[in-house]
Amino acid sequence: MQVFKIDGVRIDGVVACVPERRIDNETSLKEMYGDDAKLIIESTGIRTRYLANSGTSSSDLCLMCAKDLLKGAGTAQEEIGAVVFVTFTPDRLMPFNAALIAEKLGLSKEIPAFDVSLACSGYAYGLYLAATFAKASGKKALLLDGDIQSAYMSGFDKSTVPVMADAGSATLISPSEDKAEWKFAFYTDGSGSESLMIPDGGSARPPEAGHYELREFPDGSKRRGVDVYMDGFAIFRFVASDVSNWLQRFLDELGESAATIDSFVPHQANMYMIKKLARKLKFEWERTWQSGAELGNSASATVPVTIAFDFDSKLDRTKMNKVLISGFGGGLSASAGVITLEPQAYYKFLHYEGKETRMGEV
Amino acid sequence: MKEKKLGWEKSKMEQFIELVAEVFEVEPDEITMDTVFREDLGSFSSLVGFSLIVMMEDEYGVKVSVDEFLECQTIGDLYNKCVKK
Repeated sequence: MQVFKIDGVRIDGVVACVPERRIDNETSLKEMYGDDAKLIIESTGIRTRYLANSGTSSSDLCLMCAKDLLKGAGTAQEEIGAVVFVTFTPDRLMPFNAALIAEKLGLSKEIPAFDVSLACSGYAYGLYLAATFAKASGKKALLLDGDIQSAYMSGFDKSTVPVMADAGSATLISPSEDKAEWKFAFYTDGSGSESLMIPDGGSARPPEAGHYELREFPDGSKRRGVDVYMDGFAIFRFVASDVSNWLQRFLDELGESAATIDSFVPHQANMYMIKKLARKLKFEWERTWQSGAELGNSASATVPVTIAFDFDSKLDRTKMNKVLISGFGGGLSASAGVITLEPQAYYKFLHYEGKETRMGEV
Repeated sequence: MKEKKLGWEKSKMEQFIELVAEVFEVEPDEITMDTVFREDLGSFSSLVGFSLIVMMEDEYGVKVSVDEFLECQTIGDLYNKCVKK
């Protein structure tokens, strides 16, 4: 197994937000599932989710988080030396979101700024990339991670509707004298690329009017070609078997285990799956960071969202916390990191209330 | 000889029941080969079903399709899938 190590960096802060609409699953699933709605909620453990109003973009959510983070961490624009934006739902297919963020925050034009197009496995990738930029430049790196999945989600799909949500986040990574070493590993299996995908509207099937029509499928779901399709069982098998074995091997390779690591921050796929995963890796549920029951599954942003949401009950305030983070999903793809979270860093969870009205705008 | 074989079969069944108990997060003595797992164990859901299929694949190397799984009613039905192939 290839392990990627980096030291001399630390996280100055993590800010995350959820968008405008709080969805109560008991109400929202009733139409599709009837009396089974309660069973579905008990089974996934996801009670409420947050979805964006139409037109609220992934950069809108992340920009609000970034502004709060820079203020909260006391960081000036000129201290930022790189912008990495993890999203598979950018504001537009072109240009990329990082440019929008850099401009709106008033950052230097002479810094790297780019997007990383990954779904649920994205955060550890973003963290590793941001850390390497911070270390190489001696400047801080700003990592944004957020998705508006609802823009590509049918309201009538039995696999995605019960779990999927929107969210945004910002993480600030600084060069540091600290010697704590972060370790990462990555896993990709393209043979499962069709298990979780948006079939139409990419260059393989260029956009056409028919992609926007709802079609009915044998399980009773209705989706457009531009909506996310998920083979629930294939993804479950990937996580319960491949990812959990791979994560165990990652820990073994590092000589780490649930006994040497303080806590586990998993991607909030659904509460049942992460409970099983935590159990297999021997992290008690009390040491497993959670946000999915209240906030749903917002793709790769769930890791920073969970940090910002659950730090109060999970972060040990008396010491540097060594945590395992992991994301897994579309690709198929997984990522993992053993990183440190400091008690004195800036953590904040926010609610996005809509675009600010600008002067002169009607 | 016959007894020995029976003993071996039994421990194999016990092993299977332990694995199923782990999936349902119940004690092994709450499960027998006749347990109708969708009704008798309380906590069944499609995700628990997925867990059973993955367990059978990981532990016994049998690939059970979702359709085949849907035909199984008892723990014994599942066990037979694992020992037959």
